[in-house]
Amino acid sequence: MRDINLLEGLGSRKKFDVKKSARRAAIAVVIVALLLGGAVFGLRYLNDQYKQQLADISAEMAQYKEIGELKNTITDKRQLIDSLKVLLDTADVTSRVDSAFFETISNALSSSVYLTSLALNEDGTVSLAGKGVTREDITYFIYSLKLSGAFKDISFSVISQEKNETTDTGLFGFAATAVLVSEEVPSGE
Amino acid sequence: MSRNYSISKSEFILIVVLIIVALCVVIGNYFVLPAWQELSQTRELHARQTQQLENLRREHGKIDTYREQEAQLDEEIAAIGVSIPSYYAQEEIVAAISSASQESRLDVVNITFGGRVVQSKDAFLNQLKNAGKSGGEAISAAAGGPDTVTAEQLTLNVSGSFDEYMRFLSIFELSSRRVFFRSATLSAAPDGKLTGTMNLLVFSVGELPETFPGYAYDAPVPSGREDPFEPFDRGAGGGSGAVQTGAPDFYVIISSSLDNDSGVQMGRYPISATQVSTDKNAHVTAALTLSGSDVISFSYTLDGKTYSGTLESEKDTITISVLSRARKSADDNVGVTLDVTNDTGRTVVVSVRNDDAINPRFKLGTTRGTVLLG
Repeated sequence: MRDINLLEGLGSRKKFDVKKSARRAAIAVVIVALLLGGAVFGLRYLNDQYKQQLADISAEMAQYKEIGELKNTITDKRQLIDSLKVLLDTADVTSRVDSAFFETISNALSSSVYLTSLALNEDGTVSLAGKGVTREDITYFIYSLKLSGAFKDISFSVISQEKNETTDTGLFGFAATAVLVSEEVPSGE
Repeated sequence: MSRNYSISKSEFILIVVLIIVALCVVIGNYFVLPAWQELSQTRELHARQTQQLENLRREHGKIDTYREQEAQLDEEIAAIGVSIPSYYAQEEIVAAISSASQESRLDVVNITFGGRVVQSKDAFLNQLKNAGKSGGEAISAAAGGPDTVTAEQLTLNVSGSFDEYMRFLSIFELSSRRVFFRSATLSAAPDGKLTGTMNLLVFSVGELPETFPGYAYDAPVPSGREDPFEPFDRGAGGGSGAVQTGAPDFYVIISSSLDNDSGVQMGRYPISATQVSTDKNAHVTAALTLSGSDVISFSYTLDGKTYSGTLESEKDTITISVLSRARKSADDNVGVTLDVTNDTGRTVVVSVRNDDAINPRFKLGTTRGTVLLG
């Protein structure tokens, strides 16, 4: 049977020099701390270098400030021009009273029909009243208006016979309404 | 036993390693990592700023191009300003109506002013789009800044013949100062005389100045009166007549081949003796040459016919109004290409009204100097 000496391990443990090892450990800890401190210092140094360069870049960028202001001014002026053009175009297409409108009406009339009144409202509705020699003459006028393509929803309100007792001649009065074909209004964007 | 206990080597190493790890964690977490993050952010910022600087350097190399663009935009704004100025002046509109009335011989019996309305551009646009309709979009009353629109509607009571009425309309269509006829009524009397009303919209765009904006109106210098209530002598009133400030310098009228006055007419506004014309049902060429500084020499040619003269104007812009018409048939070929040579140092603004939307009759040909489509 083998003799087990329990104090043998205890004896070998005593050989470990704690003080010496503690000194070494302290040096190792200091070295690690120094290394980490050096890393922090290095990072901060690099950071400062970059910041210095940023300051130089900002100073140089300030010299070119004019170009930024110029580009902003150009953008603002473009927007102003677009806005003014939209205003003009919108006012133009929504204002329907012009010489072309009256020419369209005139061109649709024959020598047998004439107008006694004409009204064009802001919303493009047109009221017409006039006289014709025959009912057919009046219908030809309305048909010509439709053919012009400038109107939609043209409809008669009344056609009435008007007789002159003294001359024993007759005329036909009429009233009609129409709506001008609307033009595309600019979107404004 | 406990009094004699001494640490083993393994335990010592374990403790030292733990201390070093703890040290690394503490220093790393509180010093190294923040420093690294700060450095990373600074590097990213540096990269961005460097890129921006490169872009700025490149852009700065093109600064002359940008300055030219800005100058061109200024000219465009000035050209639009001829049509819609930045101020609203009732006296200018009254003068224009009076001048057009005298020129067309249409009697303007009464002018009723609807009152000046100042509103934002969006509100004004809504009003235009929803005119005469109920249930339109809500109109904002906010107004301010360069997008402020000052508008007024005027109602004219007119009397005259149809020819006079059409001349009156055409004068405003040719005018460089844009006014818009919103609605009209006409009634014929048994003697053929027309009476009616015209609703006229006038507006300007720009901030409403608190004081007189300083526009120039061609008004005579007042002589002054000792008694402001003393009636004037009959026949002495009236003055020399107002000058229509919105009148163009030159005009081009393009009519359909189916009209009585078919073809193209070109002239110095409003002198009809200076007019050159062609009745060809074809696309013709025209040229306008302007030179000089104080007194402008002009020469225009239409279809081989030429007229030359001089023009005295203190305005910065020379305006050409083109009044066109929609084509009436596929055989309606009337049209004109206008070449403009501008050696005056002023801006030439060409404004085209009522042209055919699909196949325009008017084309601006070759240009020299500052020539803008207004």
